[in-house]
Amino acid sequence: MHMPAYYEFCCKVNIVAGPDALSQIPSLLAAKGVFRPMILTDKGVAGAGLTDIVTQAIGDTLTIPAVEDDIPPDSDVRVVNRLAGVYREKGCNAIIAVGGGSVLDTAKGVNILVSENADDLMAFTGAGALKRPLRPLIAVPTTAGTGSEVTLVAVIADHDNSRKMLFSSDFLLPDAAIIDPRMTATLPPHITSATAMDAMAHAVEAYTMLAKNPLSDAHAVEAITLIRDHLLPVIADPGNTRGRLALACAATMAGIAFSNAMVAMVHALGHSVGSICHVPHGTCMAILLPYGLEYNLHKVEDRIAHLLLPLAGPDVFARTPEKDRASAAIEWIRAFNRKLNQATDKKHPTCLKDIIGQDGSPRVLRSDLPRIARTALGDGAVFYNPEDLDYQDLLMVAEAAWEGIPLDLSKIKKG
Amino acid sequence: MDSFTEVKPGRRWFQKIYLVIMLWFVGRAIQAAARVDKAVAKQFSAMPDGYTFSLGAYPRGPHMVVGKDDTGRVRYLGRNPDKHPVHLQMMLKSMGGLFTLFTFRESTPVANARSRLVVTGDVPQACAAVRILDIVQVYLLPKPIAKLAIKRYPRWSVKRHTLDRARVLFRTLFGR
Amino acid sequence: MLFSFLCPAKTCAGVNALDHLAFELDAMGASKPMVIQDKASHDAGLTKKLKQAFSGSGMTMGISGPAPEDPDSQAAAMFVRSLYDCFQEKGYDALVALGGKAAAQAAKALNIAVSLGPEALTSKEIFQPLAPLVFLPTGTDAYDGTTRVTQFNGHPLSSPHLSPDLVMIDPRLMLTDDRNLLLDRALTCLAAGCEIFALSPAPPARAYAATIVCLARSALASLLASGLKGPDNLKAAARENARIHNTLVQASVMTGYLMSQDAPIVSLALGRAIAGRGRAPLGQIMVIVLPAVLESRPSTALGDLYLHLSTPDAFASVPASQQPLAAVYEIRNITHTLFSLSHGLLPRTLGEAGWSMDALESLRDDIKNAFGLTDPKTLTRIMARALDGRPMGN
Repeated sequence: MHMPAYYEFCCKVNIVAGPDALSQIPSLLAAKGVFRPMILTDKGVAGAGLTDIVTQAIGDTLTIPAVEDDIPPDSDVRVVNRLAGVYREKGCNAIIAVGGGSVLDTAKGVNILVSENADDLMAFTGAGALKRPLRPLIAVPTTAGTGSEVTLVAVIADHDNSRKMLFSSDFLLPDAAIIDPRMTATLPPHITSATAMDAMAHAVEAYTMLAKNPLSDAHAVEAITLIRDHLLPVIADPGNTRGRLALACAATMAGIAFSNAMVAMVHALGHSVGSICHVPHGTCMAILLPYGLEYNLHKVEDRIAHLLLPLAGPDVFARTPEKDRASAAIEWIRAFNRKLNQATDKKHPTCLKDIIGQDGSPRVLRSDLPRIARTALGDGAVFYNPEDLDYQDLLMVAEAAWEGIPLDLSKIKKG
Repeated sequence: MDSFTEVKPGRRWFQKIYLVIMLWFVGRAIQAAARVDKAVAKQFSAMPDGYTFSLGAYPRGPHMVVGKDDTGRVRYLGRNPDKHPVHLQMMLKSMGGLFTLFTFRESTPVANARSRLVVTGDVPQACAAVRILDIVQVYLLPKPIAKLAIKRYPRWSVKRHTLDRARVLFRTLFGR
Repeated sequence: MLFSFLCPAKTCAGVNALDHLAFELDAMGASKPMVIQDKASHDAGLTKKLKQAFSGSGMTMGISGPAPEDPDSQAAAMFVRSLYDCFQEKGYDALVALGGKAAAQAAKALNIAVSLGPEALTSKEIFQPLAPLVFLPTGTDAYDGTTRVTQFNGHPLSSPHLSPDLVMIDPRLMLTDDRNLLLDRALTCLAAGCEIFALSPAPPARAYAATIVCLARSALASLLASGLKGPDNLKAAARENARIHNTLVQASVMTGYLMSQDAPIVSLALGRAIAGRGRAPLGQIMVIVLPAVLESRPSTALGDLYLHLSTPDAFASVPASQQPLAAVYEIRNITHTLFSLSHGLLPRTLGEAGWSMDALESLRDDIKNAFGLTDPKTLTRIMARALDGRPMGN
């Protein structure tokens, strides 16, 4: 067990999970004395019929004064302001957020405004601006990936002023996260694989990077084991409810792990690739994960070696000599990506150059890599990386990930 | 209730004095390095004119404030963050935490990883500020101590390690 | 299968943890905390450490005298009443419980009174959030402080709002328990952690349980390695005990979180009922009944428990089909080792502890009423197997 000299751990979210977890929503809200929740979602989730499943599961015990589905993929402050107005106008007293990261972030932003009785979200940016509990917020994630249902941050874009507002507070944590397999039952195989590998990257980075602690490690290992056991079976059989629930729980566990132990260079580069080349986040994570581990191998070899057990299982662990376990763990992730590539009819790419857009053209060009590296330098996640990172280092990793070749470990500058 | 007492705990004078001196050195060294070192100048060039950042301890310091004036010149702006609009605030959660940092028992990345540091402001600028602090620590500190403070000791040219270091130290003490 | 898991507390543990207290209180909107301490903390002068931690923060804090040791007594009720007036008059806005159960219970009761009015102390449920509550444990009985329950003047209350908002474990505040108590608390935490890991369907509970098992096992290994009496050198013994104590306080804090979940911890329920009648301490009883508890219900995670009771290499070398047996054997082996080290004084079975089936049956209602265990056949099987030590199914 790795015991740092000091650590903090917090997850105040009530995790409710099971085949019919949605039906617990009325009692959870009743325990807080609220009966008029506003439902926030996006067009994709509503179009897939998931909002209807939520409202049916809730039944008649609650009044739902508003169902708003006009939330863009990138949370926007104008949308937050409008929705806060709807909340007040309709006399709502809670929020149920059904969706992925941007729906959750939007819901958190709305909750700030309605709880603080404010109009200007900017006043609450940063850490420590919120000093008291907010109105009840229930998160219903519809992907098994981001873990936003258990994070204490929200990022909301102010496009008018070309800036992103970051909010961070324990009070932003939802009161409850409802993990119901019906919410991910219709995810296509390649999205299932990408979102699960997002969760995998959260868990692996949380386990190997600077801010790890015993509790985040335990959450990370649970997540990794669940993904290892259930991802390929669910891709083979998308109606596997037990597997869907397991993957959704894994995403939440990984979210708890990284919310407490943070993420590092895989996310810094991944955010960069995502924002510049418009690549889905999970796809970036799956490709970049082995590279992040290779880059940090000389610093955290023992941690990566420990991960071989939850990743590959006890038999592989026992058969692998101790000195080879770290590189075996990295190779296992690469091999897993290749299996996912096969299982999704090649829709799960294994390198950046193989990411193809809907128009059939490559999304990430070699000429994008310098800008990707420069942008990654401005991502706070780099500071949780065990080894230092400069522009040249990030470019080297991006180039290897683009080509799909392992990093040349001799070229890594070691601190 | 007879045995009930109310106390207002005092101040940590030794730590405060030590930190005031160290933060003065660091602030002045940032100003100096911005004039001497290209890498520091480059980090500052990405910040808009008038941008300021502070480093200090919750709740009331001590602090160091550094920023660019309206002409783009980097200046050490003193100890009082209330005198300037601070765009980026880097704060250790206690004076004890800042003292641990400045006695090199925890490096900046480790203090950050242990949740002792709170950053409020633009994240890319925060990354730039931390890089500036890293470079300045290499200038100010002997190598064995600098290695405790940062993740990777840089491979600099002889000129940078000697001549530029001398210029930074001189400007720290006497420069404007 | 539906599960839910809630841990409302933030945990901060390690060197100089207390230095962050002022910041954390401010983050909860508090600026003037009232500190309630127990007798042991008072006698050890621990509030001096608290004052040092607050120095430079600009915060004013109130410090009570020692809370009565029995939190359910009239004296404790009077103590809370007297602090209620003080809290309101002087404008305090948060509570800090320094010590163990007595301080924590008093703080929780006071928190209900100042947040919802004194009449709420006799209510059935607490629905609203209370004022910020911080728990600073000093002993390995920290689980009593981190649960969601309190008792005031004979009236029990349970609510997630009664859990502390923040738990800070700072080595400077530790009042090291004696070695026998350390041993028993290690066994208590280990048993609770093992049971939850093996039998809970909730991954978050398993994560906490895995951490508890690793911490408790590490402490137990140190305790057993140097014999039940510890090193001969007094300084070395004190250092070792302090280190073990610190580890166990963390395990105990997390065990309290697990005790606050909906599903009862069977080994704890049995342990409390049995230990309450004397003859053996709680942890010892829990680890004796634990194998029977684990074998009484089907579990897919019992094999994985072996990982946390051994090493990764040992775990990986055992075939999956044999891992559950290996896990249960490791637990039984603890009682065997204690029996050997104590030259037969520490029992391996309830029979050796002086119990009979009739005597255990007389506890059935206590266990059912207190802990909601309602499956009579399973309880009988567990008690029978814990009595004679035979594996279930034999």
